[in-house]
Amino acid sequence: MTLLYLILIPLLAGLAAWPAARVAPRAARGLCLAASLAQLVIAAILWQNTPTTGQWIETLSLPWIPQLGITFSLFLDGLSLLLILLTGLLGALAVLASWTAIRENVGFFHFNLMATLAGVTGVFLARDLILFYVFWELMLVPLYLLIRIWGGDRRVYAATKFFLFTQAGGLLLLLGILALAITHQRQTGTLTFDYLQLIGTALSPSQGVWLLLAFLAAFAVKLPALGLHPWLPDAHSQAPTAGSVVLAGLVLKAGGYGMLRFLIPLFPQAFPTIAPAAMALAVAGILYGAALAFAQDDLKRLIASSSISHMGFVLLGVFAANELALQGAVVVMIAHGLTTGTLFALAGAIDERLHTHHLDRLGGLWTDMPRMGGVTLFFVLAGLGLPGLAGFVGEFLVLLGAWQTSPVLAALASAGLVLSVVYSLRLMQRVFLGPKVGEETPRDLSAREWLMLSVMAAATIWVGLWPQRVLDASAPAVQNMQKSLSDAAGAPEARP
Amino acid sequence: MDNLDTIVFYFLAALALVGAMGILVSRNIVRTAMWLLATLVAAAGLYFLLGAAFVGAIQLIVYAGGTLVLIIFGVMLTAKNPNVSYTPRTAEIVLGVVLCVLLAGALIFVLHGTAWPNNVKSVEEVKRMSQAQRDLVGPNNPDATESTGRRFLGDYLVPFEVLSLVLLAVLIGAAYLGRPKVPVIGAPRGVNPPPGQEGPRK
Amino acid sequence: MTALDLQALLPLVLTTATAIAVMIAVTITRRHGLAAWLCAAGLAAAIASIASARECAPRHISDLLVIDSFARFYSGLILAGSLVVAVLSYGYLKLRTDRHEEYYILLPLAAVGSLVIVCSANLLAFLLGLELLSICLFALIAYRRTGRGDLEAAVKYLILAGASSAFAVFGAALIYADRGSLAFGPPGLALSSPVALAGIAALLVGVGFKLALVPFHFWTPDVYQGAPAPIAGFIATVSKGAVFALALRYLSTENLLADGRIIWLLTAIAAASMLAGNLLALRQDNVKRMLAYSSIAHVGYLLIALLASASLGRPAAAIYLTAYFLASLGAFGVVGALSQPTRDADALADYRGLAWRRPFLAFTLTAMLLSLAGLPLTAGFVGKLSLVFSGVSSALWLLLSALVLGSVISIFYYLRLLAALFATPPASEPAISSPNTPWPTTAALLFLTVALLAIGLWPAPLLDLIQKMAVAAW
Repeated sequence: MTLLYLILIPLLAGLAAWPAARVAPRAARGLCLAASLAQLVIAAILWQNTPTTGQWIETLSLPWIPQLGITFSLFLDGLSLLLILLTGLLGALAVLASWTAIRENVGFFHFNLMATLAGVTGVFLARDLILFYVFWELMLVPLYLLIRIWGGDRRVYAATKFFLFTQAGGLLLLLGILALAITHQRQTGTLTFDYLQLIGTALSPSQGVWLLLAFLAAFAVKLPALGLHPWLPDAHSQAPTAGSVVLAGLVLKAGGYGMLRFLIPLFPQAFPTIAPAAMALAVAGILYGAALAFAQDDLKRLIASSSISHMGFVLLGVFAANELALQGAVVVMIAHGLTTGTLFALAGAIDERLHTHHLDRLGGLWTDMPRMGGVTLFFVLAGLGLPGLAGFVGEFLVLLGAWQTSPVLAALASAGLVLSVVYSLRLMQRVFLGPKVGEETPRDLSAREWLMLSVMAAATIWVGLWPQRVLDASAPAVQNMQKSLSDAAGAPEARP
Repeated sequence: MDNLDTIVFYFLAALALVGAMGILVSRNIVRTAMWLLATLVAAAGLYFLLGAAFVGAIQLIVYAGGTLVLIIFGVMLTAKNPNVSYTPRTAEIVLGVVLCVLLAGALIFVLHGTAWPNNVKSVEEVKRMSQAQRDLVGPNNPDATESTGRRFLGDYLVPFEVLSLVLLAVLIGAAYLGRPKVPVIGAPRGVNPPPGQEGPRK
Repeated sequence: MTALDLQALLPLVLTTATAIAVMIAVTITRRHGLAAWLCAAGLAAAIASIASARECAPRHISDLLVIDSFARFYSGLILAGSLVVAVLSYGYLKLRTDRHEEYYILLPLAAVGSLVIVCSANLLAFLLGLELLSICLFALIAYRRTGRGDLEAAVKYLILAGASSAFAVFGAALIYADRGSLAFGPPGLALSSPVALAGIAALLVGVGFKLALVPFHFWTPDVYQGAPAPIAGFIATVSKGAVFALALRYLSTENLLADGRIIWLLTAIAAASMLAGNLLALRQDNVKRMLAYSSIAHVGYLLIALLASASLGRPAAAIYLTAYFLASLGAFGVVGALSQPTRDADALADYRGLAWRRPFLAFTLTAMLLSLAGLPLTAGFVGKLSLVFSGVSSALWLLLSALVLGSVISIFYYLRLLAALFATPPASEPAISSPNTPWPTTAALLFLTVALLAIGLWPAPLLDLIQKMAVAAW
């Protein structure tokens, strides 16, 4: 039942915050903050009590739609756990970051924020594939409303684009899930959407490739992969701060999580067929994202474009598919969530003070806000992969893993690291250094901001210096993927 | 006899067709009604020729006798100018003709290409083959109308009652829509939009 | 005519009695409230009579009608839809017409027509029901008698419905010429000759018109726009639902899907309806026209259930239709609740910032739109899930691709309306202030929303009911 609480806590907090905000907005904010922290604490306790054998820490199964073989079943392994921890942490960050920025319809805002978090949590926990799809779509509507109502000037356009892209991918995922379940039903006679039962489904080669592509379409839109990314810069830059934090920190991770969770275990035969093309796409995305980031003159768009580059490493890691690369992909997701989420919070803080995030109208902020400058520098360095911080570990592991599969692609991808230095330093230079633009003297970090930023910084350092705990947590899942891949390669013709 | 039937058939069919064409071609609504009369009477004649006296009589009484007279009265009583004319656009005419030719072609093809049971060809033969139907409605069976009536109130009571509901709906709908126009409650004078402004075209 | 026959016919009899009771009441005293209550109570009694007669075996009434569990399920759906329309109409008519009572005679009569259609076991009964339904709708569409829009809509409907009925009658005649009987079945015979095939094609024109399938859809936007909002809801749901149920029954009784040509024809119509409906809806700034085009697409989706294997297709159709009924009636209910006495709230601008002015209506409309778009936790998702499931298991990939494409397009215009709902309220007072919502309207909308979400969250009971009723062989 703990798993159910993980989803219900943010959802109920959001429902309660809606009316509570009419009485006292602070109460609503406090409630949501407490809910996110509670999620974090529960996840941390689960982590402490991780059993040493088997992949699954906890599972839950309740009947839901028996006529269609759909159950309300959840499971949690180390991979989900890491992402739940990230959800709790970034949820708290999102609430804190919008503490003073959101003043209208506070209750509805927090309801939408918490509903999004509940949806993301559900995605990380779902065991039944239809349930996964339900959560996948469920986080869409509140996130849409967050962007639509509290977003920037072009919010309607950005919100609609985001929804359309995600929905298009989602429908293909639904077709894929149903086709997989029906194939399974024809073989075994039972209709089920249970992940653990569907894993063994035998597919013909062409079937496998089509289904893999259907699943991949949904995940690649969210990740996003090159070509499916146009929604991302708009959505991130137009969303309110909390929305950007959740989008960059968590929603993109849902794409990466989906790839890790489903692609290899469900389609081990078809996977190697797709892998080279997907890796090439990933490298193109890494380079393109970096170039795009360099060309932006909007702070939030710059950070958003850099996400395309970073998430390219996740795609590369997943499809390189050896243990190093897969582990690297997991760490990249955590690190990117921490650093980019915080960078968006910082961009929000700047926007709140100066009412712009356009690079031309920013500059020389260091003199007025040295502390914020320092913190930003720290997270920018973490993002570009400074050794000792979170970003380095993941991208390094992915590159090592990819080198074993394709040295050429790995070499090209590492060029992305160099480019990231360029755009990151440009960001620092345009915003904090150079001549001062504008008249105002914004105040430096408040106590609330100090608190949230230092926690995030501590987490970034911790993942960077002691990544072993993270790697241990995701190891069972990664090893199982390795096993299913080698099983499939060992007996390629044994299946119909 | 055989020849006479054939001649009468072609005469009536031609009358029906000419009448239908006349409806389409004439632009005056009263003339249209007169052409409609010709078509309806010709159709009734065809029913008689087929031996379906009951249907033929109903056709004459209800359509030619009742509905058509109502139409003419309706035109006389409602239209300020009984010679209302309507001119279709060329594109509409072309589209209509093309569709009709296609439909007629398809139907002729189908009807001609079908092997009708027992190769019935002449009107006389139709009469001979459809003895079963003639028991019900044929002119030689004085009980035909009676048996039809019995069936309406026996086996087919439920559909017959539904038919009466159709008439009820027509009556109520017509009575409601035909009332003199009164201003809408709640709308102050002048708020009703002028005609044409809320036409449903974008 | 035995007592058991009467019991089976009870919903039909009670609905007719409702119309007559209202008519008698009107002759005694003209009161809007009384007429509306009588109508609602009568329809509710008819629904209750279906529930009580659940145990009856299929009964044939004089080889024209058959009352089986399939007919009962769809009768229940039709009566429930009519009841909701009646309740929604109360608040709507109060502000608009000077004589309300005839409306509550015509509405149950239209429901009787729909009931006859779903119960028919013979083309004759179908044509009879079709006529009754159409004639009531002419008057109901023009009921406000204001402006030119509604009269134009009624005349358009009159002419096109007349033409399509003529096709249906002609089709029935051709089928009679081929097999000497108008009864449905036995299967297989119908396809034996080109005459029967031509007859079925002509029937399809009649059915396609009522379902507003491409290419018989031209009347839809004008009629929806001109008709009073609750009646537009009635045309979109009850009238289409009845004809769709009949099509389902006819196709499987005659086993028409054994013929490749018919499958090909239906596939083409379905794909065209999904794509054309959604594409045309994209360009609409008028909410009623947008809903009209989206309803074309929804029936296109429904044809997937028609073409899929019966064991999965029939329940999928029932679930999808139920969800579609809820969402469409809710959407038109909100349109009606927002409407001015002089014009319906059909401009997109009427909905700007509604979430801050009228949170309840905005929330309701949001739920309805999300359901129409098929998003989870609404009934629409369960419907779409079953529909896609039946399609995938029958491998209808072409139609499924059209569905995915159409759904993505549809998201765009649903979001347009949704985005307007949550627009920042203008600083000044809105150009139009919509009237207060009367309580029956609020109650009906609340019921629809709760049902929509309840089915979305916990669909198992509905699926059980459908498994029992709508799937049983006839």
